[in-house]
Amino acid sequence: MGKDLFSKYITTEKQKQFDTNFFKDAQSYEVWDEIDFSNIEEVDGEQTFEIKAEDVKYFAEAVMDDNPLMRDESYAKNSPYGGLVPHPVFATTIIFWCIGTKGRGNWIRTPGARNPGQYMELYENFRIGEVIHIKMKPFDRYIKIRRFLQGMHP
Amino acid sequence: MKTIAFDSIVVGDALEPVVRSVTQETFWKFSAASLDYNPVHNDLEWVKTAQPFGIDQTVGHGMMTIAFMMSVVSNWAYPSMLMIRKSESKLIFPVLAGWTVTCTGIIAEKHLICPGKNFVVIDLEAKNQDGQLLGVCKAEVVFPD
Repeated sequence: MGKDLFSKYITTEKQKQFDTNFFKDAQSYEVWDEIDFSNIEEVDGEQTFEIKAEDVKYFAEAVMDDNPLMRDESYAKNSPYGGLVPHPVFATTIIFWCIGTKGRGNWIRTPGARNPGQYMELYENFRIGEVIHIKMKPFDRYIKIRRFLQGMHP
Repeated sequence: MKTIAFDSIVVGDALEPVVRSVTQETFWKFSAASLDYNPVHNDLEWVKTAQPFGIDQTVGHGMMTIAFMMSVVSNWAYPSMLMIRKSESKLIFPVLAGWTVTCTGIIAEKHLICPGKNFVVIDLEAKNQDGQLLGVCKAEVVFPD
C-alpha cells in the first residue's frame, strides 16, 4: 500500500502532500480508551483547508456526480452561485485533511472503526478560496450489544 | 437554472434516482478524494486476515454511500438554488466491489413556515442490486425567499 497503488488517482496538490500510508503514524492515533471526556473544550485541527477548484471537482468525480455546478467552473461561474458548489458531503475531505495524523480526533483513522451514520448541518455552502478551520470535541461514546456482528457497516 | 416553487411540491413526490456501479477502483478513488486511506477500503491482502467487519473483502467508505444518497438531493436542489441544511444518515450494510447501488428519495414532509424558511424533508434509501437496504437518510432542504 502506498503512493504506487494510488499514484494514478492522485492529482490535486493536497493529495500529493497527504501520506497514503495509513499506518505510518498509527502509534499516535487516539484509541477508544484514550478519548478524553474530562477535557471537552473545542480544539483546532492539525491544519487548515484552503478550498480549491481541483478539490471540489475531484470529490464530485470520485462519487460519479456529473452535476456541472460541482465540476464545470465556467458553467458554475455563470450560474447564480458565481462559482463551483461542493458536493454536500465534501466536508469529509476537509475533516480528514484538517485532523491529520497527530491532532486530537484522529481516532476517526482507527483501522476497523465503524461509521454507523452521520449528522451534518450546513449553514451555507462552502466556496472556492475559503480557508476552513475545524474545531472538534468528543461528544459521546457508547457500547451497543451486537455491534460487531458480521455485516455491520464500517 | 430552474425554479421550483414551494407550492408546487407534493408530499410523496419522488426525486430522480441515482445509480452507481462500484468497483475496487471506486474505493481507491474515493480514498484519494476523501483522504481516508483506511486499509479496510483499499488493501485486499490486509482484509483477508484482519477481517475487521467479519468479511474477507474490502468495503466501500460509509461516506461514499452517504454521498451517493445526497447526490439525489443535490441534483434536485442545487439547480434551483435550494439550500441543503441538514442530513442525518444511518449506514446499515457496507457496499462491496461489483455492486450497483441505487439511491432513491421522496418528499416526506413539507413545512410551511414563512418565505425564506419553508423547507421539505426528503427520505432517502440506498439499496444494492438485490434490493438489500444499505443505508437511509433524512435531508432537510430550505427554499429561498
